[in-house]
Formats: sequence, structure tokens, C-alpha cells
Amino acid sequence: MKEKNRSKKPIAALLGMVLLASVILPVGMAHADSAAAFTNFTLSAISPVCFGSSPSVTITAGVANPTSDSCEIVITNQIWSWSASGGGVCFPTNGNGGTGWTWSNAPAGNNGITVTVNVTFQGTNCNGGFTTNISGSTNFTVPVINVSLSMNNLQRVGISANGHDRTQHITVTACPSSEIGNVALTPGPHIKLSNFQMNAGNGTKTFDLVGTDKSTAQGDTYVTATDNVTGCSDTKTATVIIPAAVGTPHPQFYSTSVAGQNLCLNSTTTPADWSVIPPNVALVTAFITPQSISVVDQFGNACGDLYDGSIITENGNPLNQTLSGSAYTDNVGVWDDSYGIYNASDPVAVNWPKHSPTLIDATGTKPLNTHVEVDGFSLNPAIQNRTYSYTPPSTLQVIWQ
Amino acid sequence: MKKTICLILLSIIALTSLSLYGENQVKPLDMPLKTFLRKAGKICGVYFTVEEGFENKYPDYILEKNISLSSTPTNIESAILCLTNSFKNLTIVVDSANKHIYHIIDSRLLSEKDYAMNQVLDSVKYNDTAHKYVDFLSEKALGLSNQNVHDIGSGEVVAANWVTKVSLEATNISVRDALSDGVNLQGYNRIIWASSASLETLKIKVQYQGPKPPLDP
Repeated sequence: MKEKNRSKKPIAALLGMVLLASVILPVGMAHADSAAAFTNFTLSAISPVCFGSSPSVTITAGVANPTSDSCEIVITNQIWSWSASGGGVCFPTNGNGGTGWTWSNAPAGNNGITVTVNVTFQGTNCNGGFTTNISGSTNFTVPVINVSLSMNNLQRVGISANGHDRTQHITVTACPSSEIGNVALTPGPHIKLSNFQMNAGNGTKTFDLVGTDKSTAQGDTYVTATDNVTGCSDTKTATVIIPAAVGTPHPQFYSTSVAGQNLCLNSTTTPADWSVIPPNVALVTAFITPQSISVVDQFGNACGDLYDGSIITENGNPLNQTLSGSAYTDNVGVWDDSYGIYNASDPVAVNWPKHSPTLIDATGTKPLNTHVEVDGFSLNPAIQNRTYSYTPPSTLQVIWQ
Repeated sequence: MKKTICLILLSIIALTSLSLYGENQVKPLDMPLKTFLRKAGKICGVYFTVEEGFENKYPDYILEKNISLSSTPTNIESAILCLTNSFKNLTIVVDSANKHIYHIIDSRLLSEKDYAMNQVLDSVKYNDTAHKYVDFLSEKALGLSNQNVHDIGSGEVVAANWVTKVSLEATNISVRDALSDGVNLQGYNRIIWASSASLETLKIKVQYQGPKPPLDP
């Protein structure tokens, strides 16, 4: 019985779409050692695929025996292979090629992915006396759409306050660039997007992102960029953090050799004497130690550099310190400020730091607790259960309980 | 009448604070006495002075002590009552010249005849800074002196007060009233001054509290 080979081998692949129409592509080759001939490839319709998803294209091909041949070729084996290239200017990852490529996580490029498919049919003649190879190849392109936000998941976002702008400048990139006009941005709660600027030339849209109120759970908000035509999108989660508490461990301190310092202080100095306004200064002898106070967010994590530069105040009084690396310096100790106030340029004030400090003849121990604000965000807990004690001539202890 | 209104308002503070906790919750709303007095002072339009006596080596720093508003649970009649219930041996005296000034005094000091605050001065005539004023009065009232050693780190403007102006001309005035009257209270702390005195030596250190903090309640 004569058998016509109609070998249909689905190439399963990856992204996908199911197609309504078929496209007939020209045969790229062929080699036949008999009268049998390679038939055309048949491809299902090819639709754009989103970056990272899996396209699906069905390809068929076969061998046609000549009607006049009384001893037709019987196909006994099919060897398919395929390779891909592409990626273009947008992404460093070009298409993976080679046998067994699965088309998952498709890379994107301005020109999509170019796929080359090869197939070889192996068969015998009706007498089984010889083996024949009949090959063909074709190529096609799968457009890949990529919408990508320049954010990380769980991106930490700050709130502008106290004159400090914590706006983050984000870019969404569309590939191919012609898609950027179709890309819309959607914010989740606690954040605000603004200042959208599109650059069709390079397929980007920039915008500003800033927090409006603090997150109640990590990653409880997001930004989504969606290509409204293809549905391709990118979503990144975010957390709006604020400085929320003094962190632990608390800095303990004990020294029997704290050096006294003669300082000229006013409301702008560190330490500050808020009652003395420049150009005046108060002449002070101080026995103090700088303590590094860590500040954490509402989830107990360090604030990183998100709030660097924040003004630190205690009960609203500026320490003339800023937050740096999620910490600030708090000077703790005692001072004697009974030496009067002078204009800072007065020789008495100018020479004050050069004098040997007079010992403070007052033993004391006292709670040293205070409210703390970081750019106006009140810390809770702030500084509590802290006690200092001073014993002349130079013993200072700071204990946090 | 005004005092009555004040006491009612202070009661409202306490009750409002208590209401933050459910009936079954026992955690009270604690706050340092200095914070309580500032809040009370603002609402009532009054000022306070605080005189503390101590037996041991160091003052107890009563202004730093927490006042527990739930310690006067459901029958708070006034913040004054709350004060006297929270801190033993307190006597509240209204200033003789300014009815908006309340002196909070460790009762143990009132019975000390050599306690300088109880002295009555024949006359006072002064116009200069608060810090110098204490030195000025110390010449008339033995045992009185400025608190010159202060702590750093409390977030308070507690320092030698070279800024606040005091202007007073009075006769037959107690040292306590003299320290209080004549202070320019514009933008001033609701606690005008605080003092500590050893019950043994009766030496008094006076600290004018200075301008109110920016975040004063």
C-alpha cells in the first residue's frame, strides 16, 4: 500500500499564540536523492510576544512523492533543529540558539527574534534498499515587546519633607521604541507619579516617584507600566518608608578620662545653645561624648541613604546635625555655661577655646531623654531610658536601659 | 472662676489621654511632668514654677518623672489633684501678684524657715537678664544661686539664660514671687523656672527654663 507522508510535527514552543491563519513561506532549500521533493513549510500566524513570556508557533513541513514514482519514499525519521538570533539594541541578551531552544524568557529587540528552522526527513524507498535525506529550512521573525521600569522590586521610597525633595526619577523603556506611546503608568497607594516626559526617539518615558504617606507593610504599593496595545507590562513593588524610631543596640559609654573642652556655642553650633543667637556665643566648658544614634524605619530596618541630610531636632530644637547613613551624632554630657555671652569676634570669645577648661565641680546623674524628629518625622521610641552620670574630674557614663 | 475652668480643662486632658486605652487595657499614658505642665499651661493659659527638695546626693529631677494620668482613674477632678496624687508632698500655691502663675513646691521645703524662697524681700528693683537676676537676688537671699551646670542631650534649652529679660519693681515680695514676676513671658516656656534644694543644706539652684521649645505642646 502506498503511503503518503504527511508528517506534521508540532514544534512546541514557547510564547504563544494560537493562530487563525497560516502563512506559507518559501522553501529555503532542499536536498533529495530521489524523485521525492520537500514541501513548503507552514507556519501558524506570528503575533508579538511579551518579553519574558513564551511564544508559540506551529510549523509543519513534509515530503511529497511524485505521482509518477511507483516506488515512493517512506519517511522513517524527522530531525528538526532551530536557532535564533536577535535582541538588537535594546537588550544585551540575544536569542539563544541551537537545538532544544525552548523559547522561554524570550529576549527582545527592535527587530524581534529571528528564528531559523531546519528539518531533515530520513526515509527509505519502497524496497527499503537505501536511505535518503531530504532537508529544508526557513526563517521567520517573532516581534518581542518589552516594557521595563528602572526600579527594583521592594523599591524603597521616601517622603519629601522639611524642604528635602525625595523624588526619585524613574524611566520606563519600551522596546521596540515605537511602543512607548502606548505605555501607561499606574501607581499603587502611598505614592504619587508626576512629571511624565516621553522621548519617542529612544522609546523612553521618564517620571517622578515620591511617597505621600508611609507604607503599612513592606511592598504594599507598586508601579505598573502597561503597553495598552499588546498588554505587555512591568510591575515593580515599592515600600514608602519614614524614619520611625531610634534603633538598637543603644550606645553605652563609660570613661574616666573625658577631656573637658572650652567651646563657643550658639543656636547654630554643635552642640547647640539654642538660647544664644549669632553673632553672640556662650562660653562653655563641656565634658561630653558624641553618641551615634541609629534611626530605623517603621519596619525596624535602617533607612539607608534615603533620608540622608535630614535635619535632626530634639523637641523641635535643631541639633545642627543631619542624618547620615541612617544615624546622627548626639552629644551627651554636662556643661558649665556661666561664663557669659560675647560677640563671636570678641577677643574673649576668640581666645576662650585656647584656655584650659575648668573642672566642673558637680557630681550628678540624671535621666537624659528626649523627643527626636528627623525632618519632622517624630521617632517613637525616641531617646528614652537613657541616663548619664558625671563625676569630676573626668568620669562620664551614659547608660541606656 | 478661671481656676475652675482650668481645672476642668486639665481634667479633660487627663480623660482624653485615658481614653486612648480601652477599658481592659492597663497601660496608662505616661508623660514627663515637664510635658504635662506645658500642655496644661498652654490650655489653661497659666505658668508654673517647680521647687524640688532632695534628701540624697542628687536631685530627683522631678520634671523628668513620669506622671501617670491613669493613676487618677475615673474621678480626676483636676490636674492639680492629679499632680498631688502622683507626687507626694507637693503644695500648690498661686502667685500673689500674678494669678496665672502656680508655684509647685515640695512641701518639705515650706516648713524650713531658712529656705530662701520663703523669705520676703523689702524691695526689689531690677531690669536685666534672667541669669543675672538670680545673682542679683542671691545677694538678698542667702543660699540662692544659678544652676550653672547643665546637661547636654535632653533636647531642652536648659542653659544659662542670658536672653530673657526680667523687669521688676516691687516691695514686700517673697523670693519665690520675685523670681516669677517681671519675667517677660512672651514666647516663654510654661515652666518659668525650676529649682532644686538639698533638704540638708537648703542651698538652692535655680534654672530659668528659657524660651519654649519649637514643638512645645
